[in-house]
Formats: sequence, structure tokens, C-alpha cells
Amino acid sequence: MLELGQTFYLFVVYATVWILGFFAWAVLSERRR
Amino acid sequence: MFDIGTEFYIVIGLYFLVVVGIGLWSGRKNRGSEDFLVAGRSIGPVVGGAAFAATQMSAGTFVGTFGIHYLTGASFLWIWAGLWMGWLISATLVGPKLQAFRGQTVPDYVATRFNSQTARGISALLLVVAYTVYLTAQYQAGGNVFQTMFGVPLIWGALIILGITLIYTMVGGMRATAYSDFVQAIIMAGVFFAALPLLFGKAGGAEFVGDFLTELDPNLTGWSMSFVELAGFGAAFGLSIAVAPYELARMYTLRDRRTVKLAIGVAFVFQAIIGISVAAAAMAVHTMYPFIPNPDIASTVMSVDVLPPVVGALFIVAILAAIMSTISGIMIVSASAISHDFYSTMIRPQASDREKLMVNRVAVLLLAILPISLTLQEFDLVQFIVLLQASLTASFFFAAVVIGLNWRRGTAAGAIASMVGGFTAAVAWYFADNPFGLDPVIPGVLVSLVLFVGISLVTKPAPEAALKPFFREDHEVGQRNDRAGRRMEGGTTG
Repeated sequence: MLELGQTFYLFVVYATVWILGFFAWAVLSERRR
Repeated sequence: MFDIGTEFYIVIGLYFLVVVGIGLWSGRKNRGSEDFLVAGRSIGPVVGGAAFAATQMSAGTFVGTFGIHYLTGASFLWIWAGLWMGWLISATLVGPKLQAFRGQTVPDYVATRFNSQTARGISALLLVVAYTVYLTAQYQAGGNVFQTMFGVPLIWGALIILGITLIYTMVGGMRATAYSDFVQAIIMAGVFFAALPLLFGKAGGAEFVGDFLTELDPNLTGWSMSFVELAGFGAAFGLSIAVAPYELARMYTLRDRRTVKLAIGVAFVFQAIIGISVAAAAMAVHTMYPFIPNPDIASTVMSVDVLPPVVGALFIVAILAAIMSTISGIMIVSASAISHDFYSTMIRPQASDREKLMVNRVAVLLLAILPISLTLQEFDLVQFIVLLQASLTASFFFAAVVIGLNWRRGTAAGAIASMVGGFTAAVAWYFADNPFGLDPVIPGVLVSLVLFVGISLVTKPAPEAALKPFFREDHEVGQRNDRAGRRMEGGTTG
């Protein structure tokens, strides 16, 4: 992935963090209710 | 026409059999119109999330977006960040509330929240017109795939796609749409697990691809598009998807509010796999074929000339799957506007459930067949609606849905003004040649927001009964506070 350039690699990292963060929010926000 | 083997016909034939089978299975499970329109509110997070992703992606993802990555490299990936902001609006402000409302159509929400059958009629009419015409673009895309691959006339390809999609949608309704979307999303994402290693193996490895493209043009692995360009595209996509009626209608099919949030998370996973894979595959194809004159055929070149026949055929099936999932989602939303919002609610409220189910099926059939003649025409109005469908529906619905669900003071007059005003602003912006390079959805949404708030503040608030389904928490919190207040009063005075 890193071989395809910084722009590509940065997006892969961004997508991973976004998805993990979203699931964490989805689960915690419902548990709090 | 490409030289293709028997494997292509077998794989495509098997795929058609699977989706028709899903339609027949779903049809046996459908007991009434609620089953037909909202799948009995039984869809879980994995199938629901896959359906969100599959409906959103169309031929554009596998042909147009592939071509843009072929032409400009990696940076176009970042439009997903804008699109995901739209999904975040949906997950926080829209989806859970719509699911809890338990309606059947998007105009159902508009009519109940604003206590106005006029608002229902206007929104249902827009959906029928915009979506029916938009189907022509999907038929054309399907016809193009068949024409390019097999050399059959465009209309025959369009009819094959329409016929198969019509069978499973008309028989199985929303349940068939959701489960076939699930299969289609698995195909769309899964094909890359087979294709990418083969592609990069043939292209000389990821390191070679990166080095070659950087040597050819450093922007291909850097930033071909500026931040402003990407933000503009991303905002347009994000605003459109946050209130896209074919996605909003899916909220009603999900089991509960927790499922809504998890399903959107699952949709992110599918979108990330497909989006990143499309970019990587296009970059590999660029390395092997640096000078394809028309970037739109880059993905077809890959599937026929580079990949082994079975994997290539699966990629073509993925394109067909993307087209068919969009057609099916649109068919059911526009047909439900006819059958549920006009017929069952306004014309014959006394209709039996059996009659409503039949009207649903007839509406799907009619609205699927109607755009066929348009597919062969080059009417300016058709081209205009196809091009602007997402911008127009978002400009129309954004304020009424996003603000209407979260601001008690929003009124029917504000909603109608925002729908008509936002739509008109988007059309005017388009005919003014999109000043400042902004997509019409941005001024359209801004105008709809201003009109919604402004007109609502000077008109009479909606009655409490209309607000209750959407502000249940406020209502319950209010009741709890009232009870606590009464207890305290009782304690201090008694």
C-alpha cells in the first residue's frame, strides 16, 4: 500500500480509523441509552 | 465487442439465477404490503449495511470512478471522506429517528411530521418523476455493458437487465431487494480479493506500479486534485447521500435503532473495500496500459484482457450487480410513492392489504416499463434529470428531513417552501452554469435551510400529535421531569 504513494496510504489509514471510531461510537452510544 | 469465452456466459447466467431465486424466496415470505415495502422490518445490520452500500454504488463506481482513478491516480479516493460525512449525518440525525417512526415511505414521514397531505403529494410526485427518469440512465448503463461485451444492441442489453431486476423486485419487494443487494455487495467487494493479487502480479508488483506511475506523472501517486476540488465533490456527494430517498426508505426495513447505526458501519466497510480496490486496480491497469484513449473502458479492458476469464466474468457481474441494485432500490421507492402515498393513502384508504400488495406490484411493473422508451430518446429534459437527480432530491429533502427530524419548531409551510425553494435554487444554479464551480446541491441545500427556518418561525407550529413520533425522547424526558417535579412539590408541600 505504501508503494502506491502517500495519498493512497493516508486514505487507507483514514478509512481504518474512521470505521473503527464509528463502530466504537455506535456501540457505546446505544449502551448509554 | 471483446472476444469472450463461455465462462462469461456461465458466470453471468448463474448470477441471474441466484437473484431470481432470492426474488421467489422473498415472494413466498411476503404476507402483505408492509412485508413488500419494508421487508417486515426484519433486516439485520449485515444485510442492511450491504444493502446501503450496494444501492449507493452504481455503474459509475466500476466504470466512471475506475476511469477517473485511471486518469488522475489516487487522490480521488478522498471524495469518500465527504461522502462518509453525509452517512454520519444520516447515522446521528436521521436514520435512528426514521426507523423509530416505523413509516413505509419517505413521503409518509413528510406527511406525518408536518401534518400535511399537500407536503406528502408534492414529495411523492418529485420522487416518481425524478426516479422514473433516472432509471433510464441505469438501463443505458446496463445496455452499454452488454453491447460492449457481447455485441448485442443496447436496447436488448437494457431489456435483459430490466427483465431480471423486475422479476425479483416485483415478486419479492423490499425483502428481495435487500437480500439481492447483500449478494451483490459481496460480489462487488469479493471480486477484488481475487482480482487484485492477479492484477498486481501481472503489473510487476505494487512497488513497480508506484514507481512507474510516479515516474510517468508524480501527481498520479500524489495530489492530482486540489483540496478545494475534492471538498466540493465530497460535499456534493455527502449532502446528497444524507437524504437520498432510496437510502432513507431502507431505514424502515431495519430491526431497531442500534441496527441502523451498525448497518451504516457495515456499509462503511463495504465502501472502503470497494473504493480502495477500485483505485488500486485502476492504478495497476494504468501501469500495464498507459495510453487507453477513453478512461471509461479501462475497467472493461482489465476484465477481458488482463484477468483470467472466470475472474473477469465476475468483475462484469459486479458491474451488473451495481447497476441492478440501484435499479431495484429506485423501482421500489418510486413505486411505493404511487401505491402507498397516492393510491392507498389519498385515493382508496379503505383498500384491503391484499389489494395494496397487488397495487404495489403493478406500480413496480409500470414504473419499470415506462422509462424504456425514454432510454432510446435523447430528450433534453431526460438528460437534465438524469444528470441532476441526486442534487435535486437532496436540495428538495435536506432541510425537511435533517432539520425537520431534530427541530420541533419546523412547520408545514416551512417544509413546503424549503422543498420547492431548494429544488428551484438547484435548477437555477445549474442553468446559470454552476457559478464558482459549485455543484447545484450546495446552493440548493443552503436555500432550503434558510427557507425552512425562516418560514417556520413566522408560521404556526405543528400540533403536538404530529411531533410525538419524532420527539418521543423529549416527550418522555419531559414527562419524567414533570413526574419528578410533582414528586418534589409533593415532598416540599406535603
